[in-house]
Amino acid sequence: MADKKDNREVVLRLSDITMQFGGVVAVDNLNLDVHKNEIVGLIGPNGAGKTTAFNCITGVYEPTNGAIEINGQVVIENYPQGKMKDSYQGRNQGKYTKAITMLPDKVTKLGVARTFQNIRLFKGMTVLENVMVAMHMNQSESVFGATFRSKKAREEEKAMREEALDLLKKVDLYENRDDMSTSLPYGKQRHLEIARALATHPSILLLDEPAAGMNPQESDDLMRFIGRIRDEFDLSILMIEHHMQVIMGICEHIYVLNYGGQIADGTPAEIQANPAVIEAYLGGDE
Amino acid sequence: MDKTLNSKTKTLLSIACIAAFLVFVYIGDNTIPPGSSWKMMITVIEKGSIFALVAASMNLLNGFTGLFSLGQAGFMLIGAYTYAIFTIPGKSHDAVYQYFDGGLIKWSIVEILEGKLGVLGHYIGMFIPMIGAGLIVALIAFLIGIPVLRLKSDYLAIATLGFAEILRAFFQWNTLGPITNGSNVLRKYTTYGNAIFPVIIAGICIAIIMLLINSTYGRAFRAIRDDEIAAEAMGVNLFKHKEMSFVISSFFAGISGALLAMFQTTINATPFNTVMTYEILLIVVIGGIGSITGSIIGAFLFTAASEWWLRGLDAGRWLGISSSLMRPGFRKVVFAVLIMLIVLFYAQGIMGSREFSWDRFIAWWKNLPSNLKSWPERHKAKATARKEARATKAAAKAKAKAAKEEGEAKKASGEKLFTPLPTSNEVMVFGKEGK
Repeated sequence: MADKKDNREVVLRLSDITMQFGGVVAVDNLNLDVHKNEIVGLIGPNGAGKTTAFNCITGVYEPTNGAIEINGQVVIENYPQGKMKDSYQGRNQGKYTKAITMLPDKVTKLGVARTFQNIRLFKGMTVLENVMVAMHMNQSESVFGATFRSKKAREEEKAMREEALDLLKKVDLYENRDDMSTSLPYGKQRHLEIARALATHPSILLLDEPAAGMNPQESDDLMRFIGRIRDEFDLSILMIEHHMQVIMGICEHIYVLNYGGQIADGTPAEIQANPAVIEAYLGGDE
Repeated sequence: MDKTLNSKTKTLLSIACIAAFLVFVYIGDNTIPPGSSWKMMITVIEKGSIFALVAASMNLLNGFTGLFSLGQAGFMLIGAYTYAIFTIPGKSHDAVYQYFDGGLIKWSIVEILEGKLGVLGHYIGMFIPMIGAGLIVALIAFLIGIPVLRLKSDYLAIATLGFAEILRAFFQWNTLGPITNGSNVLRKYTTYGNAIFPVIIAGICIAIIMLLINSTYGRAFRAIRDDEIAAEAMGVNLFKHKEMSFVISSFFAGISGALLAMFQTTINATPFNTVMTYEILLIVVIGGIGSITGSIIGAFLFTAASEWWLRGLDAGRWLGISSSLMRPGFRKVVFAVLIMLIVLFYAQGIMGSREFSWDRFIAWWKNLPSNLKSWPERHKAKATARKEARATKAAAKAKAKAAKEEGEAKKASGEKLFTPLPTSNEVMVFGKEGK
C-alpha cells in the first residue's frame, strides 16, 4: 500500500463502493482517490469489476453501498435497501445512511466524461456532429427558439461549431470532420470518442480501455496523446487498461482489482513488485 | 459530389417550384370540372399533403428519435374531433346532435369571430381550433408520455397502439354524446374552400419539423436514436428529449387530424383505427425511415396509388384489362403484394435516410441518359456474372462429391482417415518453473 501522501486536491473519491447484483458482488469495497491532474490506472483480470466501477461513477448503476464524491461534494451515496438488506454480503453496513442518486447526464454536467470499452459513436452522424452533440447540454436556448433560429440560437450554434472544429484540430481529426463517424479507421474512432468526451468540458475523464485492439505503435501514440490532452485540457484521468505498457508508462498511481475486491494500490514500480498482483495475473503456487 | 449550383440559386429554384405547385393546385381546383377524372388528382394532392404531415410527424419519432410509437391515428382522432366540435355553426347543432338535444356546445368559434371581424375572422376562427387541436393533443401526449416513454422499442409500440384504440372507444362512448355525438358522425362544420389550404398548412408544419431536426435539439434526438447510453453519457437528458419529441410529434399529428376532418367534411371515430396507423407507418417506410422528403414523396405516392391509380382494380377494369377477379377489395390485395415486394427488395425506402438536394437531383438527371443507355450492358454483365457464379458453384459441388466418394472408398477399404488424438499418457504436462 502507498504510504506517500499526495498533497494535491482530491477531485474524485470512491468510498467503500460495493455493487452487488443479486448474489454476485461485482465490486467489493473499492476505495479510490483521483487527485487533480493525476493519471490513475485501474487494472485487473477479466471480470474483476473495473467497468462496473466506471458505471457506478457515471450513474449508470446505483451502487449497493458506499459513496462517491466529485470535487468534494457527495453526489452518489447508497446503503443496502429492500431485498438487498438481507442478501448484502459486503462490509461497512450501516456506515452510509443517505440515498443520493444521479442520472448519467447530471454526472456529465458535473464534469465527469467517459468513453466506452466497445466504441459507442453516433453512427448516423458526421464526425463534427458527434462532437456537437456533446456540447448540446451547455446551450441555453429553448427548443422553440432553436427551431425558429432566434438570434441567440444562431450565435450559440456558430460558437458551438467553431469550438467543435477547434477541438477536432487538437485531436487531429479536422480533415475528417465531414466524414461519417463509422467510416473512420478504428484508431481514429477511439480518438473521436475521446474528443466527444472532451467536448462536455470535463474536469475528470474516464477512459475505458482506450488502447483495446491497438498494436504497440498505436498504443504508444495513444499514450502520448493522453498525456497531451491531460496538460492541454487540465484534466484528471482515470483509465482502465489491459496493455501494461500503456498503464505502466503513463499512470502515476495504479489500483488493482480482482474478483471485485481491491488487492493493491501504489505506483507502477510498487505494483510490479507486489506478490498479490503477480498471483492474480499469473496464478500462484498451489 | 460536385456542387452544381450556388446556394442562392438553389433557394430561388426551391421557392419557384413551390410557388408553381401552389398556383397549379389553386387553378386546378378552381377550373377542373367536378366530373373529370383529373379531379381525382386534386383530391390526391389534398389528402397526400395531410398524410405527408402526419407521416413527417411520425418520422420525427420513429426515424429521428428512435421511438417506435404507433399512436399517431389516436392523436389524429383527438385533433379531428377538437376541430370539428368547435366549428359546427350554432344553427346546425340541432341537426348534427339530433340524439343529444342539440349537444352541449351551441356555438362555433368561426361564427363568433366572423360576426366581429368578417372574412378575416372566418380564417382566424379556423386557425384557432386547429392550433387548439394541436395543443390539446400535445397536452394529452405529455401526460401519456410520462409513463409510456420509459418503455423500450416494441413495448412502447404496444402501449401507444393500445392507447390509440382506447381513445377510439372513448370518443364513441354514449355518455360523452353531448360533446362527441357518440358513435354518430359530426358534420356541417366549417371546412376550407380550396385545395391550396391543406397544402399550405401542411407545408408550413413540415418546414417547422425540418427546422427542428436540423437544430441542436434535432441533433440530440438523433444521438438518442443512434445510441441511448452514449447520448446520456454526453449529457443529453433522455427523458426530457424523448418527451419533447413525443409532444411535438403529437402536436403536428393533431393539426393533421384537424386538416383531415376538413378534407372529409364528416368525421367519425371508426376509421381512426390500427389500419390507419399502419398506413402512416407504411408511408414512412416507403419514403425511408429518417427522411422527411421521403415521407412526403411516400405520402403522395401512397395516396395516388390507393385513391386514383389502382381504383380500377375495384371497378373491374384497369389499364384496359378486365377480369372477374377485379371486384371491390381486390385493390387491397394488389396493394398488400406491392408492399411486401417493397419491404423485401427495397427496405431502405425511396430516399433511405437522405434528404432531397438539388445537387443530387441534378447529378441524377444528368446521369439518367447514360444510365439508361448502359442498362442493357449492365444487365448483360450481371447475367454473365450470375452464370459464372452458377458454374463455379457446380464445379465446387462436383469436387466435393468426388472427395466424398474418395473418402467413402477409402473407408470401405479400411484406411485410417484421421490421425487419432493423443491419449492422456502420451501428453506431456509442462511443470511450473520453480522460483
